[in-house]
Amino acid sequence: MSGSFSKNIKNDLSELTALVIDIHAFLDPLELPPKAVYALDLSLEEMLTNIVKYGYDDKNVHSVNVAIKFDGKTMVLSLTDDGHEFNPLNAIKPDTAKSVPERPIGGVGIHLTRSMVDDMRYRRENGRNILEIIIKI
Amino acid sequence: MVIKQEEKNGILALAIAGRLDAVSSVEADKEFNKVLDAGKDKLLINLGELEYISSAGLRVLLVVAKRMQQKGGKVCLCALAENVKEVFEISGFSSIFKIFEKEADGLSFINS
Repeated sequence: MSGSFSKNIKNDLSELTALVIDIHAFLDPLELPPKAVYALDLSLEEMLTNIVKYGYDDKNVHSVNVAIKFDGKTMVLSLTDDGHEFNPLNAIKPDTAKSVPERPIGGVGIHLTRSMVDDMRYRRENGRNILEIIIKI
Repeated sequence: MVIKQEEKNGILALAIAGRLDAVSSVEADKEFNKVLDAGKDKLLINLGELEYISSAGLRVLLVVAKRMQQKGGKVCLCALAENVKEVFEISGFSSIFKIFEKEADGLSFINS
């Protein structure tokens, strides 16, 4: 089975809840393993949160495109935004060995995403960040 | 996301069900702060019905752990589902929390 999904959302975290419902309506008939669905949910949330929180230098409303393509073997999640240039693949891994008091709050989203998906590709094109997340089934 | 509260042998047991994501964690954070502000220092968090947690959800639990440590209280987690457990392991959070498979073991740890 294969299929594709695409939706434009505003750069506002409140968009996440409805987006996840739409994506699950698309994913459910594909009957993917729960682990792959979890990886998709998590990578989408972590990367989208980064874009919404840190991607823009103004307070204007921007559009982010969220697309998924599944060819029966590989799922590709693409996020396209017009924020400032940001390559999440250059982010530094947090020190996960630290104990509670020394642990800075946050910084684990990118690390989790990189660990749970098969591949990530980033490119800057026509003033847009294009992040592709690859999950193999 | 739904959080249920129950007192068990002087321990406050909180069961979180559903999704703890960037949106619902704001609500969860408020709920936990209410509990901690009320002076609760024995806390068991049951994640048996939790289907999904992201870094935003982990952050809420980290704040709980930090506040409990400051006040000399005790907190533990129990009954993590497979995918949720994996997120705890990859992020290193499994070494921050006392985690038990069975709630009964968590209760006896807190009262020990």
